[in-house]
Amino acid sequence: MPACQLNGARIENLGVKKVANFMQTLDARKVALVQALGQHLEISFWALLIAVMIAIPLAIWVRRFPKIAQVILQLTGVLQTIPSLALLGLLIPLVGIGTVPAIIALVVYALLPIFQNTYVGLTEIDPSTEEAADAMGMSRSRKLLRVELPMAMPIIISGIRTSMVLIIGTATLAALIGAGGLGNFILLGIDRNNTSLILIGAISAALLAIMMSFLISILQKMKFKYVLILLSAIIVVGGGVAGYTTISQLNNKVVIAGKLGAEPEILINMYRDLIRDKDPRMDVELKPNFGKTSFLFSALKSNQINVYPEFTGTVLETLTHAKQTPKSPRAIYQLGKNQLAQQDRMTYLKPMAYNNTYGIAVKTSFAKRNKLRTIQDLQSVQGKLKAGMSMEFMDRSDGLKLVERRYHLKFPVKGMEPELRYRAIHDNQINVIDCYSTDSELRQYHLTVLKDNKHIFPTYQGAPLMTTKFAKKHPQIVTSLNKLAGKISEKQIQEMNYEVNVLEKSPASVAHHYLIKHHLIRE
Amino acid sequence: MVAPLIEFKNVSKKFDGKTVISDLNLGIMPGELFVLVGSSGSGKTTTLKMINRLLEKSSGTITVAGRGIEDYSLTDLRWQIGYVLQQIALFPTMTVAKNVSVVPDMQRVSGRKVRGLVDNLLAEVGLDASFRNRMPIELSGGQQQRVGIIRALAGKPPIILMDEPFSALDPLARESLQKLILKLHTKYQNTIVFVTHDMDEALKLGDRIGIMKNGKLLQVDTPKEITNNPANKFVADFFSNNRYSDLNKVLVNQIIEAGFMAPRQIDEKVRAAPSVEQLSNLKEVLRLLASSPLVKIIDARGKPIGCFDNESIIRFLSTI
Repeated sequence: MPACQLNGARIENLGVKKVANFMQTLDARKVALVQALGQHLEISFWALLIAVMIAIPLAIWVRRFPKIAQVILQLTGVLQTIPSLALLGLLIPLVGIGTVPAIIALVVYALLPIFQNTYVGLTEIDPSTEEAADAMGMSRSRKLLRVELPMAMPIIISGIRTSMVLIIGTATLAALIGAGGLGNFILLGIDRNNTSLILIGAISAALLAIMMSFLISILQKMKFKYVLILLSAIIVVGGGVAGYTTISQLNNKVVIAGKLGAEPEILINMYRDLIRDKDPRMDVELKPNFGKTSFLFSALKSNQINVYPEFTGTVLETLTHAKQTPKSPRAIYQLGKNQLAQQDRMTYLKPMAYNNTYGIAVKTSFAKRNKLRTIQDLQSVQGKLKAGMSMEFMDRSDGLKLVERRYHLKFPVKGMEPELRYRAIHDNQINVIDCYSTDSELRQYHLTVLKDNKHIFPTYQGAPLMTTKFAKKHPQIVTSLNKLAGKISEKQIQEMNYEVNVLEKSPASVAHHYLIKHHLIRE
Repeated sequence: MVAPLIEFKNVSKKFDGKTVISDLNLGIMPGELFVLVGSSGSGKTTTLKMINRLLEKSSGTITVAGRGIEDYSLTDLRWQIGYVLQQIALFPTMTVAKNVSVVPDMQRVSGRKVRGLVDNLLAEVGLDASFRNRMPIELSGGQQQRVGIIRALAGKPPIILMDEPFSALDPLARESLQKLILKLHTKYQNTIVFVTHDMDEALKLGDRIGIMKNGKLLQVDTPKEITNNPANKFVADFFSNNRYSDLNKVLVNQIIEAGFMAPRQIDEKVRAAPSVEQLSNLKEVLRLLASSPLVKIIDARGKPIGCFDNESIIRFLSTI
């Protein structure tokens, strides 16, 4: 299955350019960065708070039973060895996706250091000090609050600090299950092969950890009483904010999510504009870069999101496991639509025009000179061809091998990194490459995708997916979204991807501009 | 006849089936400074801790002011009984003032009163008000135990238990704290139960002394009686092994008790002589006698009560 949403902004990373590029990317994504920092802090904070509220009372209770304490220490130790990705995966069927499973996973990791330090801090108090407190006639709770906890406080706080650093680091994985945060930058960077984005995410997470660690070290030096007051204040404020957010989320709101990358983000911005155009009072929330196919699909099933754009090819391959793939795009869509409706009670709206699939591309000038329009036309220039292709495409049975067999082509091919491929054809070292048909580089380097006139590549057309229940409840949304049916050509989506990936325009403005220009919404 | 303030009747204590105290009977009178002395493992600390129920007795009865200790709530019982530990065990996260006011704070004494109380008590043990806001770790061992003592006094308890309070201190600090205890005891007239393994300390401090061995009380008597009429050979041995074991530690009091004051009226010559207190030691006496034919002995109020001369001291030394 091709990873058909791949859109690489393969930016040249040479010397000084790198730094300039980094600063430019940073500047262009200021707003997103602040938002991601906020999400990251929010997730980390709640995870830490919950871990503290579980681990400290547990350690206090269990310290009189050393055997149970040993068992709990072992157990929390084992929990910590579960790979975080596996843990996130295990949680999806239980609690779905988004912030909740992310926080649960982080809490699981944070338990051990806090529990261990609290237990050690309390059990290592000199018995004579305990005896003095008893002999003064202190009650258990008074002894705990006035003597034991203050004495154990420095070591407890150092446990909290360890957990906090652990949480902030691991929270970058939360992006994988749609909880957002700085991990979005890293994922996006990996996806687009954009080092600047990865660096922004990683450096911000590291700085955040250092900063929080510093703040907690101040806490360590504070008097126990003030620590308690501060913590209660934070809980009250945090709880208030969380409560407010929960209440405001209870409103009738439409949540639209999209997979990782520029293209899905452009699409969901279009969806929002179309819905709002019809009903300006409709509350629409976007969750861009929400993760991979299975996350989105299960989120849709569990009503955590209401709509997301899915590709017809992906529906057949991943979601419905169709035994045979029909040839024509229309048949592929129909089969997917029917199976989704039967198996999962989903409604799959009409697809857009463009096909995001494999392609064979040459320079536009080269195509014009040699009158190339289809892959078949390459036969006439077979002797002149020098190809550079991705390893994956060369390896796949439905990739290069199929092209050679079905189009009776034979030309020398070099295996190349996806990013290098575009640079090499730009520098005329090669003259034919493989690509994804919506790559922004096609526009950036003035390349033309040759028509697959024998339909050997599977069809991937995008269309909005939602539950049938939702579709019935919101017929006006269905009407609005169907306005995109048969719209947006490959050229147009390439152009829009180019504007977002290379020109760093916001997906919202690119989407809006397209809808206005094509009279799909009122100005 | 005055009834005992603390009374043990047929008390025994077992740890894991092993008897450590058997059939203990003892009455401690109000206002008494009672010393329990014995080697380690004799059961003296166990006996002490049963009074404020840090350890629970296995059988028998213990009464405080005529009531069984189980009839008090644990808090009430402990607020009536101050406690001073060998390990001192000040609360390390609290200032000196906070340490001292632990019990009054629990008793909801007003903040202003507690402040005054803390200042008075600090002055009583020779620490000025600047110690209020210091942390225990900044204090010397002797200073810490002074705070430990006034922490026990702060709730104005009629009874104070002291578990080898000075054994971790250096000799100088120990001696000055022993004097302090006698001074405070005279002033507050509370009942003190004092545990030690040091016979000199017992003789120096005790109104009465109880000698313990293997969980049994061998003899309970005044220092003089114990010195002169030991109940059995063990007491006599324990005593002579300990007694005068270090000449420098022999006290003026002990020399007087042994009957070696110079037979002389308190005249002008005596008044003009250099003085030693009752709790001074033999070394001090010898040092003064090196340059003066007479050394006068004064009591706690500075009043002369007798004197030593060369002859009386040499006669005392010859008895050892």
